[in-house]
Amino acid sequence: MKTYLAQRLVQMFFILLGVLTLTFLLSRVLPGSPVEMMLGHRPSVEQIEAARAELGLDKPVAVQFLVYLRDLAQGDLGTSLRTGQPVTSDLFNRFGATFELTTLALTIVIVVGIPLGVLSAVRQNTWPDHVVRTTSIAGMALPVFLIAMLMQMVFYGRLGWFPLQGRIDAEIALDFPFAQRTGFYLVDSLLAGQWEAFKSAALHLVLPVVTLAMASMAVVTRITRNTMVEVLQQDHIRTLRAYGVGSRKVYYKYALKATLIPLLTVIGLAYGYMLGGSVVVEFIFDWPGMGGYAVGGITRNDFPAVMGATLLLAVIYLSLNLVIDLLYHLVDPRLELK
Amino acid sequence: MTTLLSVTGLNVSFPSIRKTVRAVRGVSLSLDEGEIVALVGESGSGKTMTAMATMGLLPDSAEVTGECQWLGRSQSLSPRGNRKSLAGQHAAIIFQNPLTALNPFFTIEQQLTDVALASGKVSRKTVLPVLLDKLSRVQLPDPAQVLKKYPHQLSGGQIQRVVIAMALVCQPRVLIADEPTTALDVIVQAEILQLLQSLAREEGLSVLLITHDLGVVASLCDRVEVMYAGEIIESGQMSDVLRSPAHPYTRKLMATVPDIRGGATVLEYISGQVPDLSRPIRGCAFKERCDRRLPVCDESPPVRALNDGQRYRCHLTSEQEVEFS
Amino acid sequence: MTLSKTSASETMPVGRTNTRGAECHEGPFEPGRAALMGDFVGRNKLFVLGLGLFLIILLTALFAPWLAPYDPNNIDFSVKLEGPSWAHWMGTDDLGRDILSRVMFGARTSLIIGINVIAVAMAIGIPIGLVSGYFGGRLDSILMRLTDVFLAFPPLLLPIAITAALGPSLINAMIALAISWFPWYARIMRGAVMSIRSNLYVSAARTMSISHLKILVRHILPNAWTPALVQASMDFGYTILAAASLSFIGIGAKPPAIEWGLMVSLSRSKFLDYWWTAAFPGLAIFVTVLAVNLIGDGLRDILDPKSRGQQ
Repeated sequence: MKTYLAQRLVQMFFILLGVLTLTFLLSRVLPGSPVEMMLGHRPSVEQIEAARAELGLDKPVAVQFLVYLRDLAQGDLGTSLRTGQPVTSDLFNRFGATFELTTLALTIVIVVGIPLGVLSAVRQNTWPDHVVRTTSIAGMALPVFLIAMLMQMVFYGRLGWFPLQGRIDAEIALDFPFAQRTGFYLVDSLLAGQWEAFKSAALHLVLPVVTLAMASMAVVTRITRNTMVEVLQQDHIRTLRAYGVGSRKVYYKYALKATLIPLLTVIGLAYGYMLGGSVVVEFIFDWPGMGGYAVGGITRNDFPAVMGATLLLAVIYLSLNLVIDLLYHLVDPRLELK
Repeated sequence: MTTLLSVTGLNVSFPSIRKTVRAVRGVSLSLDEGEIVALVGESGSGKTMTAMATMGLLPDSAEVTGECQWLGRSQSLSPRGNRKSLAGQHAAIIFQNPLTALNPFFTIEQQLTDVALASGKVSRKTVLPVLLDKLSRVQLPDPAQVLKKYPHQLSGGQIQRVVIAMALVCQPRVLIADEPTTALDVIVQAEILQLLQSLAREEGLSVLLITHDLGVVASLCDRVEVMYAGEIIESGQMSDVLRSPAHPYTRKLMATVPDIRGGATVLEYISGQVPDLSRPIRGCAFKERCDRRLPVCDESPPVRALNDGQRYRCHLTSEQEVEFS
Repeated sequence: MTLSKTSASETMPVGRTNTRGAECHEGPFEPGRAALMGDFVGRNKLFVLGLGLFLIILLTALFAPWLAPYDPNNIDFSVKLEGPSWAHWMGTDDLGRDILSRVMFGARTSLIIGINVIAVAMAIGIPIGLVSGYFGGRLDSILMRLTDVFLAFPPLLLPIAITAALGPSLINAMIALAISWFPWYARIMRGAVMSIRSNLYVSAARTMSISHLKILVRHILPNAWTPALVQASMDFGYTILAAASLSFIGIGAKPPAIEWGLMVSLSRSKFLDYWWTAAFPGLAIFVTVLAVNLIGDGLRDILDPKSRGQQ
């Protein structure tokens, strides 16, 4: 286990290095040069040279990369050209928003999507199965922005149940202030005892969370079903059933455990979708998270912001995959001694 | 001799919207106490389907008709029937691949215990000694250690023994073994076959052995049923069928087996393809590949009997066969 | 959904050591492929539906200039933001352009995006996978670590970052998508090659000292392309979705290009009052991707018999 962990960490280190190299290279080829951003139109040659020197763009690429790594090690992702703040602190402020959004959406997917997949597999070729399968095939063809706009149209436009966008009502946030401790508005407002603020935050969460959950639900349900079907066809399951072991025991003890590892993989995958999907969802719902920050950065050539957000999201995704990998080892006896 | 299992007129088909695949057609067979019967055929001949149907293990989409009796008592063959059936009480089935036969996430003890308890013949208190006893009966050294292990910690041969022990825990009268040795290496194969044989001899366990390996049949079995395209086309005592096969298919099948002592004989193969079972078959199913084909083969062949209970389904009489060769 | 990216078989291996032993069992029947196709169409109404829908979309895209009732770029403020009517079946947008005509022309853009992205992704990924799987060893591990890096990004994020770097435009979005997609083809191809490499005819060819290139192209590629093709049929829809998403957030297609995601995006400020401006282009994306996914599912059924019966 320990050597495996070490191996995995080394492997992850190299992938991380690759990710860093890639984001570094991407930030160098950005054509809308940051120099122009800084200086505006028609700068003089001297001005450009000075700006390039200031940004370190006149040094050899290898040196630039090392500087980039050194700065990263110190938690320095550069300064956002848009907000004028260090990207690190911008991201730090927005991390909670994205994390709250994705965590809640993931919870919905796990609580609803996986059981639906299991139900569909156990009741294979009956009407619940057909309903689940048809819905998930259709769901996979729905673009996330369309789901989002549909939600807004129905639940804001027609019914007026939920707000159109944003994370909290600005006035309520002013009237009922609360300290940021966890970055989750739901938790922070409760800790501060600000009931009104909690209500507003909760109402604002509903549409983006449901949108994000729906966007990956279809895939998760489908994979869960297909995996479970495969497990149920395996000899060891058939054997147990042939010996008359009760179907509850077969499904919930034997089949479920055999599905657990694929399910963990599915959850990792779903979280990846959500991190990616959060970019679009945050953009539509004007959600102050990392994805919205990245998109905002693109249209204004704020490359430190874009690359910082990309890097952080990739690191989160990588770490999650590492955690899932370690969980495999807790679940699967075949891996325990390797 | 008591007849433990008898199947009469078994049909298995898989209906779908446009066509129906008739995988097993009118199969009848029986199994006496202590007898080892081989069900032989190439893949797709319906031998596994026959076994699964007998055990009530086919998926719900299968349509099964025919009669089945376990120790004289009738049992419904519908796959939608109760799984805790007579089949479950009297028989156990072991599958081809030991690697998938056991659940990789549970110890041998957990799995054997659940099976033992489900059989209703063992109580939770007495289960451990029963398991130890069965494991030693399949000649596994140090049964107590084996119980603590996960499947991946055992070899293929050991797992196949555990699977047989699992079958024995239910105290079955009949063991259906579906290609139990195909996935194992030759030496382990021989050991497992020997084990099956000794279980049959010493405990009166009947074995229905599904195989495509005529060598296995020769070394182990009392009787043989040869299947082709969902039908039994020849049956009889092992020595009769292997020594003087009557059906052209069986004869060809014998010729495909290399004879170690025979030196450099030409190894034959059977040309052509197994017929499409989703289409109605006119007359004999083997006629397209048969080198003894007669005009009459477009009609359904009769079942002919020879001495000693050897039967075959063919238009050709034994006299005609002599003329041919 | 916008971000889906799954492997061809869409079933996770059960445990790390994938034991597919159950499949060695005698199946109910092994009929010829032609018979199987016939039966397949019979029981796969969804596949036929997908094929039909796709054919309609394809024809619409090909003959858009003749089929469209209006010039898609014709601005007419006298009819701006009109709801669906006999004159304008899908209504008009804020510049008075006919949405039906624009949806029809949009089909061209989406199909071209799908084809180009997949083609480029395969053109990069397949050679890498071939070489990686065939030669193995250090080269293989280096190439595979390389694909690991690309797969380390959450879906959609890498295309966004690459597009951002290259500059927002439809061409760049397509390049970005292809770059983000190629590792899947490298992986799939590598797996297929590795399973074939051990086959007898390959070692036979090797002992006859036939050049590696010849072995790869003549003996391995023809036998290994099936999984990649199945993957491509599944990816086609995802690519269209992803491209639409990029256009939607403003880094893909730009006016005056006619692209469905862009149309939905441009309607954002008014869709609450004028629903048809977003609904019809959105529906077009949905129907196209659905059609392609249904076809992909069906193709997988035919070409990858392992997954048969699981759908």
